[in-house]
Amino acid sequence: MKTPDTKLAKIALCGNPNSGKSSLFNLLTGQKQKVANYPGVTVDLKYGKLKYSDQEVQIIDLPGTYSFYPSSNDELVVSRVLANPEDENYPNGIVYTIDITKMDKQLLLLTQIMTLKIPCLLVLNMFDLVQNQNIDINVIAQKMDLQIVKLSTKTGYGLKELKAKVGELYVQPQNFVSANSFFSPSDQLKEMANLVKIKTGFQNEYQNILVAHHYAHYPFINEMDKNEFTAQFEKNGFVSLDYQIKETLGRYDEFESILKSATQVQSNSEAQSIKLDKILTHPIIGVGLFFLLMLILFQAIFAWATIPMEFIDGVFGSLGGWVSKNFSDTWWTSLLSDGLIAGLGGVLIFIPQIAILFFFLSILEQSGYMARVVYLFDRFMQRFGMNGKSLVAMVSSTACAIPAVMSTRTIPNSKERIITIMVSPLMSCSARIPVYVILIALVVPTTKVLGIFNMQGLVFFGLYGLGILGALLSALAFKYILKSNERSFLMLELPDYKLPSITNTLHVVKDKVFTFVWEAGRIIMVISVVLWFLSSYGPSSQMAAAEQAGQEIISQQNLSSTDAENLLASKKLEASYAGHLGKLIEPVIEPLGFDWKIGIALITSFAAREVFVGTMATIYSVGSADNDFAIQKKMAAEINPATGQKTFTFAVAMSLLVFYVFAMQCMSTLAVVKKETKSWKWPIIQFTFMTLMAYFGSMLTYQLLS
Amino acid sequence: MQFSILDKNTGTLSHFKDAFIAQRMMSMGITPGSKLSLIRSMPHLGAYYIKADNKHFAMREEEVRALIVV
Repeated sequence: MKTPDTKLAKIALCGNPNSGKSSLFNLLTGQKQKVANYPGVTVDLKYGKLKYSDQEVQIIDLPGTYSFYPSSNDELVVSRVLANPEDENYPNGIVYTIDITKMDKQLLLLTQIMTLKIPCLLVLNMFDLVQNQNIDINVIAQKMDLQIVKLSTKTGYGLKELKAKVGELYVQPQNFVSANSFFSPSDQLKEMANLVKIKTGFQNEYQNILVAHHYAHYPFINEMDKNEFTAQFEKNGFVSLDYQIKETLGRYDEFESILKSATQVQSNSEAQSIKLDKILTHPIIGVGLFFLLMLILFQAIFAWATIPMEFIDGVFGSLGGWVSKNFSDTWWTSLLSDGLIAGLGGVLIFIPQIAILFFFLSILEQSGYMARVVYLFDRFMQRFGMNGKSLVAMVSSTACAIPAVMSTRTIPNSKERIITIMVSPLMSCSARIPVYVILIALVVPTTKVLGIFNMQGLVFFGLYGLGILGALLSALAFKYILKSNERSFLMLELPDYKLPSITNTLHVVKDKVFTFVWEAGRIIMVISVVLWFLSSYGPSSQMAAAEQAGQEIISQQNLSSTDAENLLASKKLEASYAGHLGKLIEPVIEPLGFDWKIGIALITSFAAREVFVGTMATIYSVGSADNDFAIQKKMAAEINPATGQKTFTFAVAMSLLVFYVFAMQCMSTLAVVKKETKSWKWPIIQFTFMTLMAYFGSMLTYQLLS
Repeated sequence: MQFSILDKNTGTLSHFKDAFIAQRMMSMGITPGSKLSLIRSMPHLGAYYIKADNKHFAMREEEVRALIVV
């Protein structure tokens, strides 16, 4: 996440959810950012730079909100920034975006910003939808005393003029401050604002009023002042909610009369949405279609990704082989081919599947469908102590738990939010895909079921199902354990359906793939090198003894050179530091069907799940003489020396799969949970309950199947 | 007698029965005078699909009942 550049002037983008603000951010800054048609996608501040002629300004994308009187944490961010002139993100000017087809519903926040007297430019987005309709922009501009730009983020209409105006907003901000305030506070409210001003010193009266309403949630008000405000307001009988309602009604009265004189806008996307929703929000057909969509998604991940995956596998196989063949056998060629190339290949091979997953999810979000999912499943999720919005977080969690945990800020009720945060990581994220793919391909045949479904795809879907089941049952337990008197509500806007933008979708895919490669790749590369060291070196006396024992067996059994090399490598691995580590935990994981080699992979993948594949690739490359980089083949050929049977039997692979479905193996998610819940308590609880679920679930699976 | 659109299917919002819900609804553009209609609902006490002027909303029963219509 980029932070504000203190040297540049700051222009903030504000607006309601679904006003096209995020698309505008992309157009202005050229920066990749998630663009979605689900209220509350921008859950954190995003920064970019706009260059126009010789000027450069910083653009800050604030979360979409309906007003300064928020009902959830993400909406509170906007008032927190704009109520405090000393905030590092406090803008020099604001670009306020409105979906012109919903203009009458989106002016409330604008009028509040105007009361703050921050220079403001009004952008009427989606102008392409109303061009032939009767709308008098000049009347609006004149009566509101604002400068207006007509824009279509879809076609790019008006973008040049907008960029010029943003430049002007920075150079001559005084031309963008409206004389119209839209609000005259009552005497009691003024009195409260004066009480606040003594502490804050803010010159703008409305900023002090906002503090009077929200001081409990503002970090820039210290605890002593908060206590004093509480005491003073109680003494004066100040009821915040009553004043918020009066203010809101007053604002509507003023701007509705302006709008009536200027416009009569109707969009036909509304009629189309109603027709589509007849099917998509139908209690039976709608729910059925949702599950069908999910099934198609997971089938696609398997079916379409095969060819590019084989290609990537081939490239890394050849590269590793080429390094081994063309360079002498030194420690660094071993590090390069067995450590770095094997580890990196293990990560990059999963790019096609991750790209397909994010491609689909991004399209669903942008189209407006996700809000319908909230409508369909709100009651169902309530039974498990959550909210319809929790399902959206859980679906995003199939891509990655990190944005899912962050998106829970849109859930207003804290108990529902905590439960969603706790259980979302049980949904199978993209990092689990590599593990699933390898193990399924190892033990599940590719037979067709009912003529259309691939058996491997169905097992894959089944693992996702197991994750969902685990999440729901855990949520149910949390529902009864956690206590809360807070009110829970839904009240969600269902935006009109929109055709997703392919450019935005490709931006999202590119962004997510790069993030995966960069974030996961860095950890994996470091762990690959550490692992290579741990598996190549060990206590010198033991390594020598292992080599001697190996040589003795070779001479006794008269093995071929390849077999001899394999045996020697495997003996050395056992004597290495990694071997010691694996052996140390072997007694604990034995009831799960795992040996010490799998133990090494389990330990390393507590940093991040996808490390499993890199670890396997490193362990089996170090312990093997051939140059075949297809990790799957090596695992399939692995023999357990104790039993003489294959290591990866059906029972072991299934047990391992169950372990990966439930285990909390992602340090980044735990860090985000800590950040979001502002305490170590929740990540610790989460790590503990998920690890216990994984251990006992895995043990049960192994004991039943073996 | 006070009615919500669960009783009448369509109506004009006269006032809110609950201040907390009122504040949220008004922020989203549902104000006294808004034309409300019930489009459909999910079974078993599920959510309601409501049209308010030119926008659509998902609401729970308690929220819909707080919108008093004439």
